Amino acid sequence: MAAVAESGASSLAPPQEVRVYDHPNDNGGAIIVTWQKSPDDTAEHGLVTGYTILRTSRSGGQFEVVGRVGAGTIQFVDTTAEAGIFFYYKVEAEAGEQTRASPPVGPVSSTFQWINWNRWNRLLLGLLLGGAVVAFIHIGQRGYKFRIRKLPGIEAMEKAIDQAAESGQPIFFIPGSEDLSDLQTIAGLSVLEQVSRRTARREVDLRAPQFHSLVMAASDDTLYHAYHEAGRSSAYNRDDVFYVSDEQFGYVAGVGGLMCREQPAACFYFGSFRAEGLALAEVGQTIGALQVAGTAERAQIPFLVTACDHVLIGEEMYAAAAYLSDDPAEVGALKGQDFGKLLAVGAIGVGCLLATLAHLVDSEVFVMLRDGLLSIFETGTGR
Amino acid sequence: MAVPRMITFTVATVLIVAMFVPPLEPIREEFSNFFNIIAAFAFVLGAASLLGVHWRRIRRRVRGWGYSIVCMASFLITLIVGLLKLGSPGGIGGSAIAEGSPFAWIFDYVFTPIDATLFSLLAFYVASAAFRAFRVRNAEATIMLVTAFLLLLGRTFLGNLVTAWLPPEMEPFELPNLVQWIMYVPMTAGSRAIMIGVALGTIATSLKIILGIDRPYLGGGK
Repeated sequence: MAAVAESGASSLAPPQEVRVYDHPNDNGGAIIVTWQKSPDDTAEHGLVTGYTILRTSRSGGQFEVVGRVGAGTIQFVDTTAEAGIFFYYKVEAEAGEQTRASPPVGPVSSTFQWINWNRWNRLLLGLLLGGAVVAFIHIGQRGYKFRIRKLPGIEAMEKAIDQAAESGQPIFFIPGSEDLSDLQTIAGLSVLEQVSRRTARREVDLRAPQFHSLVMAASDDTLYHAYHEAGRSSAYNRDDVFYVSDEQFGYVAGVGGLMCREQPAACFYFGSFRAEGLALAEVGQTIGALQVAGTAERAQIPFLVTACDHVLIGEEMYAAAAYLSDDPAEVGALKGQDFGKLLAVGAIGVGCLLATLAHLVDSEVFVMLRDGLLSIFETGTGR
Repeated sequence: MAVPRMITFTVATVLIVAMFVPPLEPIREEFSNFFNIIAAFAFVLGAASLLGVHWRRIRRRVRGWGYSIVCMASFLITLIVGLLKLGSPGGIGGSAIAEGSPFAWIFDYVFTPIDATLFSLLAFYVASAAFRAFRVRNAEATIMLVTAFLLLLGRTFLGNLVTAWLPPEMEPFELPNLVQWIMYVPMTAGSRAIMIGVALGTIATSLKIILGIDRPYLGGGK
């Protein structure tokens, strides 16, 4: 931080009403500085080119620059303020070589807060949706049979496994290009668990080429358990789950080559994909394999739709394992999701109605209700 | 399985609570660091798998075993040259990627061109995928074809000219405005529907994992 001295006589007007206060709802370490624009920072008097924010920890001490913002700005968040230490601030208007600072304000210190009230709506929605999912899981576990609609993609997977069993061709399972920390990969592994149980029972070879070592370890365990549960432990082949490369196109080259040589009956793509998704699906299309994909990557969905026979979009991918397993608890979780969808549809409908009424009717009530509803779903980007 | 499930439950609960309790926020970063450290160690598993699988392929002479020789040789040469910094200007104490080092040469003149070539193939993949998608087979494909045509045309200078003759009262039907409407209304609506579904799926999947109903990270099993 460079120390700055105020220039001498200046006709430039300083910023007005500088205020400093602790940043709320954080872990300490941030102070908000606000001010009113200099009278020379207007459309008519556009002299000011920017503002410099200065800070000192001693009254009457040397001020140091902590940040610069452009003209027209009236707020700065100092994220370098150590918690518990008192600081004084001033804001300096700049106009070329000329500078003019406000009087110092303070002292102020930053402290932590136990609760981040900015996220009250996320907590509310999380409790509501999470509560619904847990409640439906519980209902499912108690033996209630939920009815779920059929997904063509899931049925195609079952048929593909049957066809592979008859033709003796293998099946390829690609668990995406993200690591185990990505929930899509976890969802993909859940699908692999169900697919491998079926392939183990039907004596179909299942190949699962891997992008990441951790996913490989989990996939390997999945296959081993599937063969063990099917009573075919001796048929388990550790070479069926193998690491290829964590370089995107190295992976494409390796897996694409294998697909061409081994001519799988079907290719299943479940997880997070980028460009390699289309490249592999096009290779699969060329060799005539039945292809089913599932991803929550919105940018890749159109490519997979064009290259695959069936695509499970977004939530369907997360639901695929529940469909395949038919486990009451997993199906219960699907019903919890349906409750969330109902809530979303209802909120969108009510929101549209309130927004329309707020526009058409001259009443503050509708504006208040509309803004209230918006605040529940607004996530914001602040700290 | 009780210990991994307990760890999963505890870590997930702490991370969720940290979202709402600011003093716990640094823990989230710590857990992320832990994951990166574990993932770095797991790289050894990947290397062992790569060498093991290809070695067995070569030994058993399975179909395409010649590619396994190329793969193993490439891996070992790159690993040895990079790890021992063979031929590097600074020797073993210098940088493996220093200018003029064999490792940098492998990266610049072998890896990068091959990677770029494979990336370029995407253009052909996109073309063939688009050809299949835009074949008029049913009503949905027809809508997609017409929409795609309008979007492509509307983004060009020619697109502006095509509907420039329309009277001012028909301004919303001018191609650039029509394209903007398609992007902002039906496309955004569809995109948001997917986003809402993904968010709900994420919540349900996370809860299943936290509660131990679904545990694919442990190889599944009940």
